[in-house]
Amino acid sequence: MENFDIIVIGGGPGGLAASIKASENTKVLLIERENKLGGILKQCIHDGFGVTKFKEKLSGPEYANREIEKLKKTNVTVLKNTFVTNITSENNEVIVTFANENGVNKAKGKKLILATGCRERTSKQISIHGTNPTGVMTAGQAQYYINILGKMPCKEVVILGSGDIGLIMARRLTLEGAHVKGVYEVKSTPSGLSRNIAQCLTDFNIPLYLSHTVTRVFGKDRLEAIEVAKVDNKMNPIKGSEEIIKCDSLILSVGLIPENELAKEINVPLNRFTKGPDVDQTFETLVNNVYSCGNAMHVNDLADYVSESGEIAANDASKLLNNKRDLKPVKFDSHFGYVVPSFIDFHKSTEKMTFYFRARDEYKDKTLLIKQKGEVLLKRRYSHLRPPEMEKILLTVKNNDEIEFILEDTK
Amino acid sequence: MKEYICIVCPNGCHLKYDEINNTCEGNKCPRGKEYAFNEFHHPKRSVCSSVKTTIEEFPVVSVRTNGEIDKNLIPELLEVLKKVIINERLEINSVVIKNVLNTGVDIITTTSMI
Repeated sequence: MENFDIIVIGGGPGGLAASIKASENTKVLLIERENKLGGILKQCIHDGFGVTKFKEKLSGPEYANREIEKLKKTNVTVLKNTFVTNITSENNEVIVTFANENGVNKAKGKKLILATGCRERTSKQISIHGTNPTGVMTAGQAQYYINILGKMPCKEVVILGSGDIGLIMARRLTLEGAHVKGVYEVKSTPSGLSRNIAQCLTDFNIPLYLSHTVTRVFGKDRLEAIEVAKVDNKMNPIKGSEEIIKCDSLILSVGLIPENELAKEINVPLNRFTKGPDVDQTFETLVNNVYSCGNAMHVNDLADYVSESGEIAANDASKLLNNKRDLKPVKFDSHFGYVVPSFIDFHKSTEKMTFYFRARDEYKDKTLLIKQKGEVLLKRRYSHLRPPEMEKILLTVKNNDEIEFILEDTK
Repeated sequence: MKEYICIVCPNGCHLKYDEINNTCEGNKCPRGKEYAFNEFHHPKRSVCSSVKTTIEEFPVVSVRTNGEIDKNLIPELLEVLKKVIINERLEINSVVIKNVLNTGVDIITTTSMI
């Protein structure tokens, strides 16, 4: 069994950035399930990546390639086509069992970084009634068929959910000659970034129906039609508003969920708001020596933030410290969807900590206050806050008291 | 007065563009004003797509324009891309079509086939 300082699981943007950063002064093993590095970026051929990190507008594969080229210059051990089957954690060591063409092997690490990304919610998870025909697929599946396999999976399309991948696919399908009949969103506001509504739907005259959902699918072998309905403010379909739409495909963009099956094996506590692990300001989970980053930690809207979180995790992990922890929760009021990190470890540096947050609803003219024992540490005004658009702040805390995030109306 | 959502960066600023005085509100940076001006006078887009190859590992390879082209040229550009077939393993950002449709913009690959 080979020994490493740091073992990184997942070779997408989070795992790549973590590996590159950690390799500066530690011995690193990177394990990737697929035969190529880059994760989901491989199939995200649209541009808009890297505006923050590289100050350039790149496509997903180009962003991944830049990171892969950097990784090649390091001495990171990379195992591709390798599937992690088991993780155990004891005595400040992590043992990872993995399977690949050389059989089943183990590696030992002092620190573990989980960069396992996220998964799409499927039709089973949103309980659509009716038959089970071909043609109901997630946006990511459709993206893989078209952008990697070069196959068109549909001609007459309805998209359920206005998440970013759904919007990107509405444009991509249109460019490839499909007819996108509309995007239906159960909420009263879009789930994707405003710019994606503009450049993917408005540009191509694709209608967006808010407060609508798909209530039924029809078709024996292939999807033939769907039933859509308006929903009330509790998201329940309104009787009498149903409409049948003929289509051969229903593409779902109904949310992403952090992938933490491996984290659960070592009893990493998950956060009910992010669905990723509870973490401190270095993205170390509540299980000592186990870190989380990128979409495994919380679903990001930009790859740039995913890379950043990988670097933050790796920066702390590669110190190879084993200090006792002094964890205090970060509180936030009901205007927030979530705040990451959910804890501060006061035995670690509390200078310039990176925080990410999402508003729970759409708000105009709000002021963010971060308070500690009644004292305001940071005040920032926002003219618009939208749940799909994650906000980032840097915060320095001097005392080791709990902090609280508050959103109030701008006066 | 025209309202746009800026697509230059993920901020997605809500722009209000006054075409008579060429002034813009709501932009957090100068690129917003430039976007609004172009959007009113001659809207431009970068285009990302894929083209076929004869390499077994890559049924298609991703490509993009290395600059922006007139928005109304997009359908024509897609017709051009449909006819392209790549027969060799290309480095990332190799030029596939130079000066496509006389726009001064090239089509480049965005995946490494090496």
